[in-house]
Amino acid sequence: MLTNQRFARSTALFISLIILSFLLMTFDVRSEGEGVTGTLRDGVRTLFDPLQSAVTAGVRPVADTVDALVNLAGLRTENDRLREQLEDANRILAETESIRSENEVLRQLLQLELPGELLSQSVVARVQAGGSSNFDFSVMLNRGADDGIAVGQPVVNLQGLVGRIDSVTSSTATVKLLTDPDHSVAVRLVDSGLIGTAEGRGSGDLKFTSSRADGPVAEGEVVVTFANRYPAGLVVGTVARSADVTSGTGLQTTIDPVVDFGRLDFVRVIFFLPGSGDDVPADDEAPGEEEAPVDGEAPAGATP
Amino acid sequence: MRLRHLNIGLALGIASVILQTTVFDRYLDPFGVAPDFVLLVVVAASFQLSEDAAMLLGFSAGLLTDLLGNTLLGVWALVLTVAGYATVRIRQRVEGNAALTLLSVFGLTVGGELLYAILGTLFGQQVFSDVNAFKKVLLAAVYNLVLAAAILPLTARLMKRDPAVGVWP
Repeated sequence: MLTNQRFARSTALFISLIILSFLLMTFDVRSEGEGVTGTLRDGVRTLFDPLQSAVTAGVRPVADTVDALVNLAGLRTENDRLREQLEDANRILAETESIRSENEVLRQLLQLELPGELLSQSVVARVQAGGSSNFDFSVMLNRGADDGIAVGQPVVNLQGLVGRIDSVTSSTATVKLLTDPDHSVAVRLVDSGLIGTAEGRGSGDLKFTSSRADGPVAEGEVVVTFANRYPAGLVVGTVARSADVTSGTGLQTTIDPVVDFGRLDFVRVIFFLPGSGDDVPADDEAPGEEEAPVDGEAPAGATP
Repeated sequence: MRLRHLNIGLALGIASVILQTTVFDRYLDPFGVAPDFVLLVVVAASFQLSEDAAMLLGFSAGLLTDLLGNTLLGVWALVLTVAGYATVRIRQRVEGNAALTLLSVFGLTVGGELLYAILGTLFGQQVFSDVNAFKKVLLAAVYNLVLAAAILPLTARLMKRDPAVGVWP
């Protein structure tokens, strides 16, 4: 009798928790991460921020030491390779001056933001926590709204574009990484000028699609952001494999991101919001692009 | 319900979420996949806890995972509640058999991750758009299986359950 009562009570608790979970999910979807759920998230993240920072600070030196030991064997080979690269670089440097002036003109033509301008309106932050699971493509930064960070701002590191700010508390910010399947960004291929969309695929490379390609793209071509939600000209990656136009589907290929998302540490948050730059065309004002891609969310994305 | 054991379970749950976000997801992710450490700890603690305590621990740890991560609020809460409940349901059949116990951890991890993927997809997240979704599910389950060999005895020791007493009533 007692066992039956206990079983009934446990079953009732189980059903209650399941219903509560579904209510939370529905409420979170409806409120789009704002309102009560947003406040709750902010509070919990602020509460756990010192603990996460302390654990990360304790673990980082150990992880760096282990990384260094693992890489020791490859250092000699790497050194030889770098010497060869240095010789090549010295040769190329002599040829660079004319290319630099040409690049300056092209940069103006492409309306690219200059790095110096971006740097003066940005803040450096450090990654203090990763995602909560293998399907959470975000990292948490140790700076937040108090430092001027706002939702939608792009995040870069020394390699290139990392992602964009997805949520902010007073002292932390969450970055939605480029690899998130819910995330897409309008991009331009530097050599061919082809404009398209780069979408996250969870891990590894990004999916590039363009409906207006009229010729093939070559492997290794550099891919940068196209003015819209991001400043134009931030490096995203390189074309992973050559591809040509396919009838009906346009051109599809993959992009190797330049950023190593598995080892993010210092990043820079740029105080740029969509439409805040004078030289940034709005969605419907992209020069000569009737079907200019809109970056931010993939078509089936659920969050803004 | 033994409150002391639930408190220990909750402390383990919180510690596991902190470790998942700061250590496993950032540094201990061979082949780009981290173990599902929170799920493992919930399963390990559920081997020691009463049915109600196991479900409450799963729900709390899941809710904290949702709040600290960038996932829909309630998804991990539901998945880990189910994991806790399922562990209590099967533990009598597997206890005493190490191979079966480890196999159950593997199965619960696969089931939990798939449930997360299905729920996420139902609520608009593109979990199955991840090209490595199934690789992640399987590798995480393998890692959990390996870690379980250390975490299960450790949890039992922390809970100080007398093996002669058997499963908590």
